[in-house]
Order: sequence, then C-alpha cells, then structure tokens
Amino acid sequence: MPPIIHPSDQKQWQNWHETYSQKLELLVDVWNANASQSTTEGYADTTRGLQELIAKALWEGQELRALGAGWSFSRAPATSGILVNTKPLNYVFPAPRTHPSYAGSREDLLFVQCGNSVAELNHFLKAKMGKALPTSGASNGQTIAGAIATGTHGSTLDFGAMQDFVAGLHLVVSPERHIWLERASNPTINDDVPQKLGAELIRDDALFNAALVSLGSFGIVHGVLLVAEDLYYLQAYRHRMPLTEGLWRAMDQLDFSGVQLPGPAGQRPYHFQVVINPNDLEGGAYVTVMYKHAQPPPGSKPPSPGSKLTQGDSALEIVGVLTDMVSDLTIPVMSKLLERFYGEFSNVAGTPGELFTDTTTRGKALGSALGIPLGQVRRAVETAMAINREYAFPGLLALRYTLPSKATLAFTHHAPMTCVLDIDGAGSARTKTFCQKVWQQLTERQVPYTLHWGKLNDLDGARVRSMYGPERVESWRKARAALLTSPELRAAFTNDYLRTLGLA
Amino acid sequence: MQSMLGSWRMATVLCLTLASACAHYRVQAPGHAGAPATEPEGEVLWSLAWGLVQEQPRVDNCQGQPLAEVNQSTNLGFALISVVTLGIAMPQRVEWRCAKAQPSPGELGALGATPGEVN
Ligand SMILES: Cc1cc2nc3c(=O)[nH]c(=O)nc-3n(C[C@H](O)[C@H](O)[C@H](O)COP(=O)(O)OP(=O)(O)OC[C@H]3O[C@@H](n4cnc5c(N)ncnc54)[C@H](O)[C@@H]3O)c2cc1C
Repeated sequence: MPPIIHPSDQKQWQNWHETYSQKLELLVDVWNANASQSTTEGYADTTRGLQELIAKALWEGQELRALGAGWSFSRAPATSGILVNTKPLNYVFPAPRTHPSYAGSREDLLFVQCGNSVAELNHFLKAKMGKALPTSGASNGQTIAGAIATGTHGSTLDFGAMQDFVAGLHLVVSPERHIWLERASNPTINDDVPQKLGAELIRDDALFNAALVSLGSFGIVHGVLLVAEDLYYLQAYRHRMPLTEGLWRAMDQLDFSGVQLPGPAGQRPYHFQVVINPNDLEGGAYVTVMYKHAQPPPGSKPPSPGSKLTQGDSALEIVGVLTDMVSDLTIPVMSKLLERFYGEFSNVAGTPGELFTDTTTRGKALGSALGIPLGQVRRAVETAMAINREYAFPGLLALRYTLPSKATLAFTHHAPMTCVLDIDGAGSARTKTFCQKVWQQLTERQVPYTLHWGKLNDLDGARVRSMYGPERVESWRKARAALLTSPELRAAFTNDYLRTLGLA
Repeated sequence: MQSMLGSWRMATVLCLTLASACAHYRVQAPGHAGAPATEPEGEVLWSLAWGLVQEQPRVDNCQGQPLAEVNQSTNLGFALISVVTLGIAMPQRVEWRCAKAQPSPGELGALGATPGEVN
C-alpha cells in the first residue's frame, strides 16, 4: 500500500530552536501505510512514495529536501520548495542477512528507516537487542538520517562520530532509481537484500564516504544500516578542577599523565569532556569522565531520571535548561545557576541511552562547534577566553573529542583526534558576535579549524575550500554527481545553504 | 513632529507587545514516546459565553497516533479581547505535534526470501 503523504497548510517552517523561519511551497509528512508493523513490502512501498515526491518536485521545478528533527541551527534542512518530514518513518529491521565476507556479527546490525530518533534507537537497541550505539550526541532528539547528515558527534575517545557506525545507506535518488550504498572495502549486506528492495547495489568507498555527511543533498536517505555494540554501561564522574598545566595538557593533547581524573586511578576514560565557564574561572572547569563497563560496577548509582540536567549533558543542554529557567540570562545569573544545577557527582552508571538523554528546551540557546586538531586546542580555548575578557558573553565553552571520521566532509576529520570546541550561549546577537570574533581571531592566528554543518557558522565557498582542501570538496561533489546524475536532480536536492557553501 | 515620533514609538512598542506571547504552556510526553513525528500544527480556538461554547481543535494529521506534545499560548492581544468582551470571547492558540507509531520489528529481505540463510 502506498504511504500516507499528508500535506500541511503551513507555508512557513521553523527549526527546533526557532533561530530562523523559512517560507516554503509545501510541507508534507510521510507515514508508512501500516505504521504498526515493519515490513519489507511496506518499506518498498514507501520508497515508491518518496520517488513520487521527487517526481513531483522535478515536474514542478521545485527544490526538495528531507527534514529530520529540525535540530540544526544552520539552514541545512531549510528549503523554499518541498520539505519532506521523514520523522514518522521509523521501521526497524534487526540482524539483516550479511555478505559472506562480512567479518562482524550479524546480531550487531540494525537496519532502520531514516526517521528513527536517537531516543527511539537507544530504546529499541537496549530493550530488544541488548545493544547500544557506540556514540551519540549529548542528547537524543535527532533522527538518524539527520544526525549523520551533518556529522553529529559525542565525546568518545575510542570512536568517531555517529556516521562512523553506519555500514550501509539506502538512498532514493530519482523517480526511477534507488541505491543501496556501502563500502567496497567492507561489504556488509547480503546481495539478496538490496535485490529484494529493488535497490541498485553499489559498493564504492569514495561514494559511500561522501554520502555519509550529505547535508541532505544526496537524495533522500530512506534507510540506514547501523553497527551497534553489546549493551554497555558508562560509569560517570564530574568534578570541578582547577585549570592547571596538567589539565591543559589533557585538554590540548589528551595526555592524562599530569592530571588526576575523577574515578578509578590510572584508567583511560571512554568519554572525556570539559565545560568551562569563561566568566568564572576561579572555581575551575567542570570535568566529566566516563569509563566503559559490560555491567554497572558494584556500588555505582543509577542516573536520576527526571533531573533537569543529566550526567551526559554538554554546554548546549546546560544553556538550554538555564535559559528555560531565566529568560534573560546574564553572566552572574548564569554562573550561579550553573553552580546550582550542573553539580559534581561520582560513580553514577547508566547505559548511553540513559546518560545522553532527552532535552526539552528550545528557542533560547544557540550553539557553534569548531573541529580542532589536538595540539591546537589550548590556543583555541585561550583565544576564546581572551575575547571573552573584552566582550563577555553569557555562555559556555565545552571540549569534546572524537576519532577522525572517514566521511569526506566530516568536520571531525582532524587526525589523530578531533577536539570539538563548543561555544554555546543564550540565543542572542551577542552570542553570534562572540562566535564570529572567535572564528575571525582563529583564522588570523592560523589555528586550523572546521565548523559543525548543523550549528551556527558563517561558511562560504572559499572558506569551505580552505578548511577542507579542494580535493575533499571536489571528491564530495563528484560523488554527488555520480549519484544524482542529471543537473535537474542536483538542482532539486540543492538549497540556499548548499549554494552559500559553494557545494551545489 | 516630536509627538508624531512619540506616537510611532508607542505604536511600535504596542505592536511588539501584542505580538509576543505572554503565557505559554507545553505538555510533552516523557521519554522516547515524546519524540514527535510531526511539525507543529495549530489553531486559534475561541471559548465563547464564559466557556459555554468551546471550540475543539481539528486534529486530522496524526494518522491514528496519539499526541506527543500540546502547546497552549495566549498573548496580550488575546488577553485584551477577553477583558474588553468581559470574558464573553476568550481566544487562545493551541498547537500540537503527533507522536510516532511504535512499529514492531520486521525481517529485512523477507519478501519471498529463503529464510534461515545466514552470513
Ligand atoms: C539541543 C541540541 C543538542 C545538540 N547536540 C549535539 C551534539 O551533542 N553533537 C553534535 O554534533 N551536534 C549536536 N547538535 C546538532 C544536531 O545534532 C545536528 O544539527 C543534526 O544534524 C540534527 O539532526 P536532525 O535530525 O534534527 O536533522 P535536521 O536538522 O532536520 O537536518 C539536518 C540535515 O539532515 C538532512 N536530512 C534529514 N533527514 C534526511 C533524510 N531522511 N535524507 C536525507 N537528508 C536528511 C536535512 O536535509 C539537513 O540537511 C545538537 C542540536 C541541538 C538542537
């Protein structure tokens, strides 16, 4: 049965944080005809429904864009044409049949429809498969397709960003064509599966790596094949620590030799994150560390559900919660609230889904994130702190870390490790100006950095090329042209954001 | 000239105040059940004759799924209407997002596939 394609009356769309609104021609919700049972037939029918929407866009000369949760601060999901809400598409297919040469375990694989949120995945993986995602952002409202499209990351020292646990993509690229794409170097799915779905099977590393962080511009990602892990627990600690040379070395190079991290001595953490309130350095930085275990360690406490801020929250969630309490977040108020609500704790253990959990805030926070190679982190943070002395902003700096991503345009591609410097503040002109000053100073001081595609940024074609190098950019565009084979298709999957980035 | 400028300013301030929401309530389902499937849809609903006649929202976009979230808001304009009409007409804006379905898992490739073949 064809999917239900429900047109909305809205001619205007706003992102989750209401940082912008966009006039559009049409917003449609797409629902599987039978929403209560995941079936291959239903999935294949919905593929055809998505193809019809592409046909409509081509026929009317409209742009078309898939929408996830709308959590991006950037205009990545915005279009003046047809916005296709994919959130209702949440079929799940555990343990699909694998390729004979696949070395991993079939039981770790989960094929999901694009609209599954990270929260839904956490829940399903734990409850039905005894598994967990290797990493996620600090909260869980993104859809899987939306999260990977901009390169969403967490702060896991032993893993990359979210797109790095993806082994296959099912892309709807035209009214006649849909593709199962995976790496030639790691064939994962049994050839039968794409065949049953009617999808063309392409195994190609360059195409796959480019399509991961696609900014919504490689067609509609209908399905994602994930590689999960056995369910694990994170034993978490947060202490406030003075900004000593040892802590700077940990932040700059992940060299923990000069610092006594909270928790079991001498163990390298699985998760390491530092939140700095640049307006209150006296009390030190908030250092959160988490150690990975197969079971909750004896004596550990479970996370307290329903608390305003949870153990996994990062700067954006903190600012969001605080701006919800006090609409006009001044610097002294921010520092007071932070002390009160972002407290220290020890030995709390939970699954990743329990620690990186819901955020209900919207509308008042604004965030940017810079990808910085190790060894440049201290310079970058000190630059931001110096700017704050001249132009103080009511916000926070946070440091998170990931292994370099294989995705062609991942902003977390810096080897051997990318540090992500989050700058999060109240949604105000001051926060924006602060971010701009930091970007400008870092450029002038020749500190290499990239910017999160889904957060506040001021990128244009020239800056994208200088950040990623012309080869990466060309290889991404070439891959896009290989999948969207006509100029009309490429035009349909373009938006103002892509044009501004010089990637159209 | 001065007084004209003054009244423009007054008018601008009034417009801005009227446009801004002065009360806003959000009710959201907890946990993953609160993951919304849709973007907000909304209507202005009128309560007439001190609540004797109450308009109901027409929720026609949830495809049989429950609501994940309801927002109710009023603004100064709505409050003024309520005061001026002595409560005979009380407008408010209601917005909702539908919840997601919770499909049971499926078997990929079951479409005529030979089951039991692994790796
Ligand atoms: C409260 C909050 C916390 C955040 N925390 C983090 C964090 O910890 N780490 C981090 O890295 N980022 C974080 N972000 C940023 C966020 O993860 C990214 O912006 C992410 O892309 C949002 O996902 P989404 O589902 O909302 O996608 P959207 O914002 O809706 O879309 C993002 C892109 O994905 C595309 N897209 C969506 N669905 C599809 C599809 N089916 N097919 C093709 N393209 C599609 C869109 O067209 C768009 O280009 C946070 C944002 C917020 C608001």
